[in-house]
Amino acid sequence: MSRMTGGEVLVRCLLKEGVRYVFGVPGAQLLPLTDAIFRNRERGIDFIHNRHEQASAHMADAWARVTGQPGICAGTVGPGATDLVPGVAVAYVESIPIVVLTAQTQSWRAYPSHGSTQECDQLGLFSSITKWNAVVNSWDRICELVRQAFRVALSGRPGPVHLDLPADVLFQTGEIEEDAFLEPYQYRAVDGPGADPALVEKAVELLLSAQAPLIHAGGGVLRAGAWNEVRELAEYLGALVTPTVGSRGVVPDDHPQVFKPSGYGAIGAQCGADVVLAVGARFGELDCWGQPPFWCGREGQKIIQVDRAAEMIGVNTPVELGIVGDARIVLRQIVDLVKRSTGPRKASQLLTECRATEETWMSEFEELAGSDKEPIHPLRLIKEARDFFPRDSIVCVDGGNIAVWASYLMHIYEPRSFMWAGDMGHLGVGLPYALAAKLACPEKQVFIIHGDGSFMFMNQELETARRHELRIVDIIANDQAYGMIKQGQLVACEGRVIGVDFYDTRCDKMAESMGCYGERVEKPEQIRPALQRAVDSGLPAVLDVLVDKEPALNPPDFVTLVDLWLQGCEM
Amino acid sequence: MARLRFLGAEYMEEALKRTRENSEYQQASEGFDDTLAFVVEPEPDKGIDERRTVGTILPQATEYWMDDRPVTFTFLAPYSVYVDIMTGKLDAVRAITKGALKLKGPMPKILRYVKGTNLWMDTLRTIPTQFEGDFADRSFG
Repeated sequence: MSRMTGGEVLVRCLLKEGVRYVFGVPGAQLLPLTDAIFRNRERGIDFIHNRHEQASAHMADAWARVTGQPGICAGTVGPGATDLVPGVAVAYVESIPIVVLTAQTQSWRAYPSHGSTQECDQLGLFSSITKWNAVVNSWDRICELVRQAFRVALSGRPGPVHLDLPADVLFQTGEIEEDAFLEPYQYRAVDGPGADPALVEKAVELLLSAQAPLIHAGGGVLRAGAWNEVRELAEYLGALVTPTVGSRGVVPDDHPQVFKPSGYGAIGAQCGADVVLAVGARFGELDCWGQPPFWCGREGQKIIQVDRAAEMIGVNTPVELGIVGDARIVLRQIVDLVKRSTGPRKASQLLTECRATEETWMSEFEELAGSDKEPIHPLRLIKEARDFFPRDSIVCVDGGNIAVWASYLMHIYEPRSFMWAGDMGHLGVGLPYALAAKLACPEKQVFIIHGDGSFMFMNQELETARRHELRIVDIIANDQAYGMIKQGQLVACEGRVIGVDFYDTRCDKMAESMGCYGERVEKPEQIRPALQRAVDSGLPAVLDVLVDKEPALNPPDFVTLVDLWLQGCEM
Repeated sequence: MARLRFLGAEYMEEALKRTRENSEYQQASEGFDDTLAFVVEPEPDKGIDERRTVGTILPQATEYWMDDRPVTFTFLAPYSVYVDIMTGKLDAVRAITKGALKLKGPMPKILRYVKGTNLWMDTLRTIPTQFEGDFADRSFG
């Protein structure tokens, strides 16, 4: 029996879940939590403090993306909690499991409000951007509610959960038995469900009847760690593979059967395949809703959809067969049955056609990437960065148009090595994502491709990078504008632009002021040596690269994206 | 040259001639070798009363036809969409990806020849073109 504060009970629960870091900004009401972390550091947990809680939420999000384990973020009552909101919203939209901890004013002052300083309705605030949340209104319920938080975050479609912790509960002490801290397997499923064998049989029957099968792999594959099964099945069946934008790397981009998301090869594959096995993919907007003209449509295509969450089956496009289950377990069931049913198959003619289409499409980008022109073409920058860093580097993309340019030549070769808040389209995630990735994988190189607009959203975290010696390389494609918005205005408003241009900010000097390495790059031939100097500096580094404003504003697929986003608007 | 009625016989003769003579287009479309048909859907409220079909083979451009014979690619859209494309208001490939110009046929092949498609549109835009119905005031050349 030990005597513990509520903060310590909470930390001991987190330790059982294998939590290594809590990302946050400290505060008076959070004191029992942060002090408990301090006193339990030898058990393997630590507190990473940011310069803004939004970064803490982004870091928790990134931790989950890279490790597959929930990330934890914390903010104090009122402003600390509200500052977490943007980062939690990203995780919610992108189905990332994080646990959000907020301090609340004392339980007798909150719910209903007493009007205390900083107090706000945090339960209401987070309810629309979390799967579940609760006020921990008693010291006796801390363990139970932490368990519920992890149970919900990781079940079905993963996502954020939130615990609101009144200060008096955190400060309160009580006696607790060691066996009150359960192992995760004792209170939640540690492996996802498999599928009904009859449904697996039906899926295999459909796949084996296909002339040109396609595997469409979404974020659920990454979450479940199912990339080996995707590759094994694709190679055995000769199936084409189209990852979603968020799951790039499930099979390496240079695998002969893989096509870049939304590329011409992928669209061709999605239109030409007669049977599609969609795994952990919901056919969202960046997948064009699974509808023509980017997909074949019901007449010529049968879709098998595998998802952990029953509510995601057929949600955006009708399916022939829906299977609820964990991607890795269901794919293993399918692979095993396929192998028992037939020998390896050769890829269809569709693969040859789509590969030729993809190569033609990519050839223009390769040509642009070879440009020696000044100012630097964005694709030259992207290609130089990709070629410089090792295959297993972790790539964070953050921005508008620069993210579109990066989609062409920022090849991704490893699972969980590409991070981009594509569904939320949130600016500013790049630096916190990179810092968490570096914490999770210190042996890997981590770099960011930013726009200058997105860099300025979270640049203060360079100080966090320096303080924790997180040696990331932050590459800014600086066009001194919110480029994607500016181009939209130019197209839609007959050349009128408002609220999109910036002063020429020296991002490299900002980095230097926070103890990092900084360098401005203006010529194409300077990129590679600057990257080397950035890595050799032994510091977090910023390369502030001036890019050609004209192409930076107008990537080739800009209008297609606008068509998607503003579908149905009279323009 | 006087304006030619869009997709009429004289227009098609001129279009095929200019297509054959455009070496840049021919180079970009090498290997395409396939049949296409353009189906124009009527818009009676805008003065376009009849459905029309025009087919050809590209990049050879040796013949055209105006019946519903089998082809590899069929493009289908109201007259107004074709007007938007021909006047440059709407890019042809964008028209396909928006779903404004519906395509029946193998998408991968069309996407492989995007450059050729754009050059062919540029070629057609050099022809003085007369539109019909409510679209007459958008005629050009």
